[in-house]
Amino acid sequence: MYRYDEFDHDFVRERVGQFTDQVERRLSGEITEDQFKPLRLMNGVYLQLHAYMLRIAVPYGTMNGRQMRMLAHVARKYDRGYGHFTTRQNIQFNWPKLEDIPAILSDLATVEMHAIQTSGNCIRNVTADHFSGAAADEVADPRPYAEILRQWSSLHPEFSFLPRKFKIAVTGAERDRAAIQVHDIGLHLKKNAAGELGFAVYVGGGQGRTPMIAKRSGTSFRRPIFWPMQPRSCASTISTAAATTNTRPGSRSSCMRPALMS
Amino acid sequence: MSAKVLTANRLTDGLAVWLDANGRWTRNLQHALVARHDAAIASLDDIGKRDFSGNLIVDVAVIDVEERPDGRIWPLRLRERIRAEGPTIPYAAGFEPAQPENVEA
Repeated sequence: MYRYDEFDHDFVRERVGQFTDQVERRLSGEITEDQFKPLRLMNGVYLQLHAYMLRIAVPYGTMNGRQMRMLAHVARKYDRGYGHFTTRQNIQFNWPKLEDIPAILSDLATVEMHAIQTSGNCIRNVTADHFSGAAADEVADPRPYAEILRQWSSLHPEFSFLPRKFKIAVTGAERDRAAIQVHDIGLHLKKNAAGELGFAVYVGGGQGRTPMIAKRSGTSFRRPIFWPMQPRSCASTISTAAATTNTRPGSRSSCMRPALMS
Repeated sequence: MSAKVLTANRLTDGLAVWLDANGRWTRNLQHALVARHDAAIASLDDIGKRDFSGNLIVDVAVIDVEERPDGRIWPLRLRERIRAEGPTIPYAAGFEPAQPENVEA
């Protein structure tokens, strides 16, 4: 399971401090809604039909009891007593007040949770098979690769202002419980005849207004997992190539289709 | 021309509100001021812009409504009826879901 180091703690605390200031300036009118909207989206805050909505990342669906209890605390103290776990392994609170959101984020930071990159045109939460590490049909646990991708994609300067949101999923089992073929990049861990571990790579999938099934782009087989640098570099290399394709000229022409099919 | 009301979301908490006859923002659609002619509709628009600039509200819109024989204000769009009534399923203890007769056409 991912653990914050001192840098991570400091970064998230600073981010909360920045957003606290931005919220105060919005409420006082010092910044306009047009100026504030991209800032709140960078911190997972939507304005929806009934109220604001705050989306919090649960990296590849992994969390511990302490985090769960904090989410319950947030639901009781700041919301209407419930949270909504999403199909992409985030949790959403549907009724937070804008003025309370900095306090919510501050509470979440104490248990190593945040809402960064959960909305907007960036690389979103990397998701995985919800039975990762326990599935009998798994050839390898996808979570370490999801963690590598999470670290790679967090605040990556090339991919922070994409034409569209970008979603990556990883699975390690033969049966795809991570729905990788409706993601922009789907990585399917497999072993070849020689027992080497690699990825079957799917690109261009998505849901929404223009649903697409991803196309398989080939299988990358590298050295087995006991040489961890190879699969590690493979996952991020593939993702860099695909996400870079998404930033080519003309890729902002349609906001209604999955990123790699534009 | 259909009747109109002015709606928005409150800046501080994001909750849906409607402009009432006292120029205040109410949480109850049925207390909304109904504009029935061009001049009144133009006023709604002006007030919406004023209060948006005044950091009271966001996502302002003038929406079409019908005034029913029983006196109820009935938004013509399903979206706006759900917005006025709340989520259509039981979703939280202590909060009632939308009544079907207030949402369905």
